[in-house]
Amino acid sequence: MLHQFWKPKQFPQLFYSLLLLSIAACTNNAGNSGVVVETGRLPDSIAEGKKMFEATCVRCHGMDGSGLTGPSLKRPKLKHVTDLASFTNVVTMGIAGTGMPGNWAYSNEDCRQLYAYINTIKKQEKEPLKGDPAAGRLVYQNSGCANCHLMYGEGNSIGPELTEIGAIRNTAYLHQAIVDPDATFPESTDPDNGYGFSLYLSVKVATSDGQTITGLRINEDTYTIQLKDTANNYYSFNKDELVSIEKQYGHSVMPSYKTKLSAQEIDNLIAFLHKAGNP
Amino acid sequence: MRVILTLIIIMGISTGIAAQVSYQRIANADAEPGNWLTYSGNYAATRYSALNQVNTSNVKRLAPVWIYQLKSAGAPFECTPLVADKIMYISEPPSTVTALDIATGRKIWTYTPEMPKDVKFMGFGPVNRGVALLDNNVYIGTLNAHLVCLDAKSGAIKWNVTVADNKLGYAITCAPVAIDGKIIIGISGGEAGIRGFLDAYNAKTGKLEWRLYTIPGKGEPGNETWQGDSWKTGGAPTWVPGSYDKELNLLYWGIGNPGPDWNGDNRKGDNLYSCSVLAINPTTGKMAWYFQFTPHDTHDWDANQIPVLLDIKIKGIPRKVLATANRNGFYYVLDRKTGEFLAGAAYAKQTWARGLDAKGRPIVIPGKEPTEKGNLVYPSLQGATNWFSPSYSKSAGLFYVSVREMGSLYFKKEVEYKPGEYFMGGGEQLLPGDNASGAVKALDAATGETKWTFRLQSPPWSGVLSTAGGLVFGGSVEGNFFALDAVTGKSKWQFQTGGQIISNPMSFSVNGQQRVAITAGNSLIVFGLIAQ
Repeated sequence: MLHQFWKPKQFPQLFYSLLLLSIAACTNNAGNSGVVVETGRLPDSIAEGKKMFEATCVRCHGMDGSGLTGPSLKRPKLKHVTDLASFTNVVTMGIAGTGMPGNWAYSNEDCRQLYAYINTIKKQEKEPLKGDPAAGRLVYQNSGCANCHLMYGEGNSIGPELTEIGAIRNTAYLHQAIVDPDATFPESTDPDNGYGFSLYLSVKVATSDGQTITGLRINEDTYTIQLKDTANNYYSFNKDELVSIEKQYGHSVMPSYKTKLSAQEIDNLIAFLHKAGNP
Repeated sequence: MRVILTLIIIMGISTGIAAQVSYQRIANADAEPGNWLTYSGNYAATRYSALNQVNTSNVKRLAPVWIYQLKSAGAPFECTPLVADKIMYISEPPSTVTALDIATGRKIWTYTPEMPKDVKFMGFGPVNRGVALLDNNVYIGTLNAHLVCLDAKSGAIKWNVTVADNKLGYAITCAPVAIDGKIIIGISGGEAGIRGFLDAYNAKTGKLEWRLYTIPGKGEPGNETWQGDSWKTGGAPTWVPGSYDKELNLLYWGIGNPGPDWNGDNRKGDNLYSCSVLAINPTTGKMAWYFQFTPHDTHDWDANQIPVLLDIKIKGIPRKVLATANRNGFYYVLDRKTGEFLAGAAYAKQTWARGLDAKGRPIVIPGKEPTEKGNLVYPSLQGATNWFSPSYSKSAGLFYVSVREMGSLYFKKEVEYKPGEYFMGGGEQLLPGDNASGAVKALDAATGETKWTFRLQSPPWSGVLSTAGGLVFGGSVEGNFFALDAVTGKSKWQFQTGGQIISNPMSFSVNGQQRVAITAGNSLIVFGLIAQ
């Protein structure tokens, strides 16, 4: 019913989260690994927390808390949360410099209930890894990933840096990013960009002197746009001096590795990436 | 003899600098466009400057003249500065008042009220939208719900009264409105289960002269529009200043959302006077009429937009009207003597109503209520517009409004009232940014028909100012401060301020030179024409 308003091409990320949501639901129905406990069996506070989680948190942390654009919460230690007080602070004030927004609508009691539910997620098993991280390192080295990605200080800075990618993306997201990069655009968390600004958006502009330039959007406001092309050249344009601006929503400059790598190589690569930030 | 003469001249000048901002001066503010004596520049709230030195042909030469930086950064800087007799008065978040030299931006005095560490501001930031001036005083409402009167020359406190109990979620972010002998102040706390009100204080003594509850009590007309005891915690705050018609002696004030915001199950009925505008006799504090924009609101569509008072022709007949672009996506024109609905039209994307009926009541589309799983509705909770001010230019005949084109998923959940805690009953999730946008729109003031649209990259948080120079000034969240041609909507100038603009532009003059001021990020930037 809701989909009549949503065009996946314009909302790859939201569509993806909905997709994952339905996948997670299927997984639960199959009784696989007990990812999400049935609401009816939960103590009241946890059940309430689960409702809040599903209304607010799943878009970034995933339906089962194993992460989407936000980090997986299925880990014994959370970086910014040590107790209820720090959790309440994170939920109500957000985490500066990250994608975690403050949600002032949550009362202390709401936070307590949400924390109770998060604690049940934290205790759940981590995702099982099918691949071998050491073999994955070789896949990373041999597939040209460093031509676009910076990792451990080496590589190019066209795509996102991957040094801590395993701490902020789950394996399902990493898999999707490798086989179907068009579906995994991250959003900016910089408030000066306005709300929900898509990062790494490919933009093609035609200049009045007949040039066509395609690059990733670095920034945009009402009057200007800044791009960086795949050769790392930086461009800044006044929009009114451009003949056209074509935003290629749903099109990533990263190629799909679905047919370039075997299933085993992809699993190995995911295992290698998952380790980054998850020592 | 010469010394005495000099002394007399000096005393004369200093008296001139510290001249009284009398009620008569504010009431006739249009006669002295070099000053900016009240929140919107005048009681009619047109936010129009009669200064025309900066105009469509020379606005390209506009550049910063001075910048004042907040001493304590971090909270949104939402203040509209006031200017009187060479001094600018600003409020810094959360509740500091500072007087500045208008030529240089250098500080003359500053006053910071004591604030408890656990001050509550529930549903908004620790912000303040400006001060009021009257006679030799400056008035500020503080975040912990006090009203303070300061000496305009020194910043010394003359009186300080508690308006309401901050521990229950009452707070003040609203600029006070000064009328003849009275300071009118609105209250915030619509997300905390307060019972909203509007207060009038004696400007000299700080004595409460009247309080008008925005939710009628038991036995009062309108109380029957609330189920059971829900009226006691029904919200309906008054957090944006109102406007004033001195001939009719009526004060017009927008009223905020009912509580809990997103769950109306236990407050069945129209929930008067939430999401309404009230016409109030400021002498008695009695309501003259009301008009409700969104009966039984469940989307947090406060009517906290400043009503604009216009004398225009409606269907060929000259009328005294009140015009407002409401957060719910519709523009309304009401007779300001009677509250009669005269015209209305949607000015932004909205998916919740088929339109307005002959009396201006929305024809609501069923199934647009918040749900447990989330229900997508336009506009978002933040509204098609919000607290930031519109503007009206008589010469262009246009009503200018900053518009937020964005939808959101509305969620509902159970909630129980607990004093001093959030009482909202749900939440929302905004649609991703690339499908949202903003605009400055020019509406035909008589009909609401859109005459032009200037598209903004993102939904804005800045109001607009129109000027006799044929310009409309506005701002973006990406930091662009811009000037549009008031007739065509074409951009004439822009400046990247480097900070989000979450406030209203205003204009004044210093030594015959027009200035335009805006806050952006942690700075107040004052612009003037530079030599070619």
